[in-house]
Amino acid sequence: MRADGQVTLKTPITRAWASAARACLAALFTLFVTEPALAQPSLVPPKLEQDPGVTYPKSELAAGFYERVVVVLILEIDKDGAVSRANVETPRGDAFDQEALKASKKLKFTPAQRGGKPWASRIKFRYVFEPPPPGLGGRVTNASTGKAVARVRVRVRAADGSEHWATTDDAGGWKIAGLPRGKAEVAVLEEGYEEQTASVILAPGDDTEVVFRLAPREQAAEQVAAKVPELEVTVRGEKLAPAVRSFSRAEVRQMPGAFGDPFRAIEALPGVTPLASGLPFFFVRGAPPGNVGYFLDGVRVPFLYHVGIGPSVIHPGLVERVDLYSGGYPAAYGRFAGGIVAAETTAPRPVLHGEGNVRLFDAGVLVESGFADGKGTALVGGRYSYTAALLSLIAPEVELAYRDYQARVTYDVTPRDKLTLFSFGSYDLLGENLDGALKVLFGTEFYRADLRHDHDTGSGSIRTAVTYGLDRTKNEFLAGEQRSIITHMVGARNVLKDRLSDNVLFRAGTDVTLENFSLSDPKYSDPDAPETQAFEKKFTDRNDLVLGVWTDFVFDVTPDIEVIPGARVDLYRSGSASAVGIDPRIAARFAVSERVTITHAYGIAHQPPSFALPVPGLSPADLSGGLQRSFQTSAGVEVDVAEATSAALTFYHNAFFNMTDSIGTSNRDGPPTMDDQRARGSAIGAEVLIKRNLSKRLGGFLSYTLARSSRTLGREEFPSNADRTHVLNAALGYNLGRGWRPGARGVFYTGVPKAEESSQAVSETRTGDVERGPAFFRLDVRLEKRWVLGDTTWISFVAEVLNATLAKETFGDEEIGPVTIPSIGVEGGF
Amino acid sequence: MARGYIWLALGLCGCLPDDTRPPPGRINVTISSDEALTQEQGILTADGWRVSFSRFLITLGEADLDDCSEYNETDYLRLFSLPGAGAQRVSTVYGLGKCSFGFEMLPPTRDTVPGAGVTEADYRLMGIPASDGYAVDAGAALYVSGTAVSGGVEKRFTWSFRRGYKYEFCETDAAVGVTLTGDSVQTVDIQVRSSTLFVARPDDDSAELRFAPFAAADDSFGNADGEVTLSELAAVPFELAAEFPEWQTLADYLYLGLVPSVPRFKGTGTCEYKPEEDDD
Repeated sequence: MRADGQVTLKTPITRAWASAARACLAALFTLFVTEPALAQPSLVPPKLEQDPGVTYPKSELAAGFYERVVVVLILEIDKDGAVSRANVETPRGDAFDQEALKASKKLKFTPAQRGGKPWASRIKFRYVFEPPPPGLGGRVTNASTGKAVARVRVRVRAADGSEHWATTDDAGGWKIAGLPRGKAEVAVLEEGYEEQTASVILAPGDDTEVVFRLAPREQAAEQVAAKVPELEVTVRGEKLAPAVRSFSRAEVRQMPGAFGDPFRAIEALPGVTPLASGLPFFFVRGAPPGNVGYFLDGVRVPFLYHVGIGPSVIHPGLVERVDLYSGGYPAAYGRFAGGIVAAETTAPRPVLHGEGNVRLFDAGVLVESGFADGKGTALVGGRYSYTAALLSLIAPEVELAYRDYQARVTYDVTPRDKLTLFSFGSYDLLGENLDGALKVLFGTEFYRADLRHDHDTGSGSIRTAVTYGLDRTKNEFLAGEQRSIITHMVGARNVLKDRLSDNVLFRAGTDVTLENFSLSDPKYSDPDAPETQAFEKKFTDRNDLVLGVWTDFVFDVTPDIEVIPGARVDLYRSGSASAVGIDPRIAARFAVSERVTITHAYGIAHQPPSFALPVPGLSPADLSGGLQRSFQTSAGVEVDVAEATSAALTFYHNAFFNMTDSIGTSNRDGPPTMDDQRARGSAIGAEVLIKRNLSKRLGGFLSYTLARSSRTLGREEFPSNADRTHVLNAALGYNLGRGWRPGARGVFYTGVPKAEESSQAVSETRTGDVERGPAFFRLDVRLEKRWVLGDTTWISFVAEVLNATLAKETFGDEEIGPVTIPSIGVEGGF
Repeated sequence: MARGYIWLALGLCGCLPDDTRPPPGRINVTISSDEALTQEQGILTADGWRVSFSRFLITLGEADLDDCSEYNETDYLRLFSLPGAGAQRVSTVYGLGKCSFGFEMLPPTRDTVPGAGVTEADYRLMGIPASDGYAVDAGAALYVSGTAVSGGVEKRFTWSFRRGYKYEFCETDAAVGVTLTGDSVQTVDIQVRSSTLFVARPDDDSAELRFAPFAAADDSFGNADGEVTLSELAAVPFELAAEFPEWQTLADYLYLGLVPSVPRFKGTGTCEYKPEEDDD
């Protein structure tokens, strides 16, 4: 408990800070003296020496009263420094008043002094009663053996959306303090075990204990059949922003065709269509891939997949969850007009653990451990491809290499302050050896270092971070010849979260990014080539500055209604041009019943001109045409159908203005161009997602999108070149027992409009009625055999094929493929 | 040293390899006109017609090296109004080694660069898509208009040729393709031989020129209005059809047999060519 006092001479009032005699207690006193005393400046106020504090009355807690209460007492302090008399100045209820009076008897002061002699005095003294935070802890045991399971992670998602983590000790025990009151979702996530979740209500003063009995995956089915007493588990939707779609790491690992990559798994979500089968560049509700931003812990990731179709550049073991914001996203996210894919890294674990995999084309590893008695953690991970060695046997002239790394060090400076240094990077090279010299057909690399400080304020948190980044892309014919474009980025951001009251969470942040772009000098260019000129104009050497400010409030209007109004403002400066984006956002969630929730998300989003595909360094300079802008609206209903099973139906309508969508608007065959035709666009559709957690014995999902995406250029209105009317993903996985889990995913989508041959100088007018290519269907399959070797150790054999049906895809009149990606490998963890 | 380790630890290093290729040779690709274009009075055919061009537009470019080390890409066309003043620049390509050489003659695109003296009207004339018996909804790769005069009779012609062609493996009697050595500079001129449109045989550079069959197309197969049109030429049987069965009419012969041979590699050279729509 905290005690505040105020010391004030009656008239004239002088004020002095009493020394902070007790840790965490700043006392300010008010001293009442008589008029004659004014003439005696030698008065020294009493000084607090001892304060055992007060305890929040249990009777009030039991009655469900959790408010912060202040009781002001008038204390008379004798010449010995003891409280001779105490009276309540402002009664706040018998329990609080009595507790305050009782506690005041234990106060001890150095008496006031006048003329160097002890003097009796009278002061005001404040007691502040804060409701004690709920306590939450428990144990984790093995359901088969009853033994404690050590070193497993327990995640608590609190009522305010914040996540907290604990790791079980040798006795299987875990405990988390400082949680906000309200409903909390507790989950045990450990490789080799069925995921278990529990829903608990945390109340101040209560110590809630949750005991999990983990069943190894291969035993889970048998456990169910044998009706082993289960934990009372209520599976609820995650407390995330309204209208967001998420996949957890455990689910992603079971998704056929995703190769365990969380970023690739978003392809299966409604509203998302790939550029082409197997190519992980996605359209989100009609917005092209260049309008979709990817973030990892708030740090933008410029390039997600190795060599275009390869694995993601972030080790899957480091990604806890991936959220897709298709529109009306939180104010914290901006500068992308199409959508946001935000991933969170796993929480630091101060115990030695790790995982690795060896596959046909590459190998990856991730290891983390603690140091300084658990105050610090260090993680290192990465992936290395040996395709170069393999290719050298088949095609010695071809050089293909990719690799990535992630490194993270955290240190708890104080119980409330954590420092984190997180760095990650990626390297891709596709080249051709000619006459002893290497011709780079495509090469790209990026590196990020993010240093951040997280401070727990008690009622929230403050994150302050600085980021440095380096991007470099080199292409055989970048700007007409082999040149490279390099970007140096320095950024800083600050995020504040503060629970203003039980019903209001305040969030705000600022961020600034300075980027320096430089295109290597031409050596062998044709200066008249339009492509070269356009490229040099668009990707010119320059400095770009973006300054953003945002805020939102999470209002729990009632326990069933949550409203999140917010806004962000971004100031863009590129070269000598400037632009401002003002993005109001609002989202809401209405719980109609225990199982039915209605969600809404609306927002405006701005973005500078963008390249069609996300490639490091390829960021157009031209702001003179203004920012891209989108109005995003969606409304839907979510239903908890049964345990771990949910269904959602969402309607959306996004309007785009001033778009630089060369993929959607180009009427020429071939790859995306540097065309900067500004277009208007519209995307309207309905999304259905029926999902049963993939990590369950029988898990799967059905994801369907009915959509229409159109573009308008001048007076022409026509379907976007990427418009697909129907997109369907359906996956099913089943735990056969003994560690066997087969799975399959079917992907179906209708064809895109055929590109018209209109390369003439005078273009033809396009109409809304276009011929479309044929529909596409593919089947992805996955088979896993898992062996659990101990409480936390596991090993798996995984065979997976994307497009096992060898389906070919048609663009225009050209048939491409089959793009089939096989993967066979062994994974393990401890 | 410590700073280097810090950068290394953070992974902030540029690892992509530098350009270690040896310096290439450079080719300045140009376009020039034959005498039929440069001489004001035109040319005299073997059958006594004096043919002269009043307008000669051609879109040509995308010069390309292959089968060697290519250092850049010139993926664009230029629209030329010939004859112009001497040789005009087409593009610059860099490469190293013994290379095959190619280029394209195509209808202009939106990115086509105008050559000297080209007007907006020229651009629209070539760019507006249309159809004829040989191409559908295409702009013109070659546009010619002029007159032929003989014995006080004047015939006019205005022809748009809408088929584009890709030329590959160009060679002269002296050499196949081009050979580039480091830091060397050479010029490859593509001569536009307009007189080819009136050559009697397609496979013989020394064959005589004649215009009488064209004049007859208007007089005997057309409306005798003095304008020789492609429609009228399509009514005239090609006299060498037995030898060249792919060309049954004079229009076939002109459109498909002669037009592709108008651009000539280094003046006298030849290239393998194919219609653009067959390009795969």
